Amino acid sequence: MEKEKKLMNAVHMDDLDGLLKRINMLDKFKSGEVKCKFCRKVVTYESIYSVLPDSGTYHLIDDSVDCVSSMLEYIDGKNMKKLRE
Amino acid sequence: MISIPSFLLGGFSIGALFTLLAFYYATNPHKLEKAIAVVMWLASTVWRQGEKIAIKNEVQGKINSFVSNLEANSDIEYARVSIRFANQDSTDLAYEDGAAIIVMRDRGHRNKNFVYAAHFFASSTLLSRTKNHLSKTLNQSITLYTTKKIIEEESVQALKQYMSDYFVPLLEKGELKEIIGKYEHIDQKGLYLPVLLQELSYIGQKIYIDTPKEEIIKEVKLLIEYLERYSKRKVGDSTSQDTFLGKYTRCTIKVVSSQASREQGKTSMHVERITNAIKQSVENIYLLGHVLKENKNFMETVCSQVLEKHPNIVRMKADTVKGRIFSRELRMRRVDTYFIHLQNPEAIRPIILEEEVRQITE
Repeated sequence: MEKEKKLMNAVHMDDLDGLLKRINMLDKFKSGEVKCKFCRKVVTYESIYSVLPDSGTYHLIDDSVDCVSSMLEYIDGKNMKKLRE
Repeated sequence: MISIPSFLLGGFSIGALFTLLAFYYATNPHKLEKAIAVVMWLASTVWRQGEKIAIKNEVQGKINSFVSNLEANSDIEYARVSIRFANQDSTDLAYEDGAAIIVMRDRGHRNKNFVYAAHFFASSTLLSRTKNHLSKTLNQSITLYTTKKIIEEESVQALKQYMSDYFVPLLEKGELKEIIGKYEHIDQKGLYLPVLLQELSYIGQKIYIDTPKEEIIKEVKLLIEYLERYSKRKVGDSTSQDTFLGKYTRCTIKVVSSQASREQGKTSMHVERITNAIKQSVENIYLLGHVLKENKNFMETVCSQVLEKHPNIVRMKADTVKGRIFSRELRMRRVDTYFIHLQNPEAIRPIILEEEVRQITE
């Protein structure tokens, strides 16, 4: 029997520019104007961990342990809210 | 005498081998993913697009291999991971709110890719239902420790990266240090995945109250303390509490490994201890004993006598788990433990309404 599968969205670094262009963030990202949702530090090609779709907009997340933890907690909170609704 | 032409024999052998391989990979899809990854890493040296296929299959194969091993010690079915890469121009962009898109890097960052994905998977998929009932510290510590388990089973190199990038920095913050120390003791005994993680999964499956309850959090902490105390017990110590009777979870661990009773074939004492647990409405009974053949047979005899005496009890799983024990002189030894999980379905009560919590409490 086929096991349940949970989708994990990913983007390869080679395609990151395409994704950022699509969400109108590429120019700002390249000019160092995009900050992490949580730590407010500038996100770069070296430090980017994730692109987070959130309430019709997109945030970039830094790969520091605090920002990754904050993002996971933020997603948990969102999921919990969805469950309650 | 009929001679079979060698080309036919060769054809048959290749056909048989192919069928065998197809059967093997169909029953172990994570191994197929790992095999595809190896081939695609090679192909990616001349075909750039092959790298994405390699990353996808390597990460999926490793995580799904862990999930498959986890299920071998559990009756719970956990979801597998499937990675979806955004296409080159992201024209497939239709991401759900809160569904993070993880950035994966090239072949120079294979460990990093695996660490990112394993950590995200442990947080978002394993225990996703239980997490709603737990505190931030419990959720964070379980994610952190379970990720360590996934990575250490699959890649020693990635483990170093995970420990330095995530585990140690979070541990140094202090509040997780104490609870992670408890998991470490539980895990040394081989009880972290097959007992603690499983009991937490059961909590998520049977509690439907959607608001976090202080009582559940308190009880999970007590469960962890009970398992830690149990894990620290020395060989032959029969004074440690072997049963946990909570409102949301009720389990017991029975060691069936006494050399004297085994040699004399005395099963009645063990059957009686298990019977007492059943009378106490314990949901899950975990039998542990030495993996030695004579002891495994003895445990199986005890188990069949229990099942005969209590036809309502269900034998869920039996497997070997790796663990360590402490002698009376406090010397630690590595031992493999034979593990049988029995379940008492009549004792399981789904908790849907708050008044049901009160009924159990009263």
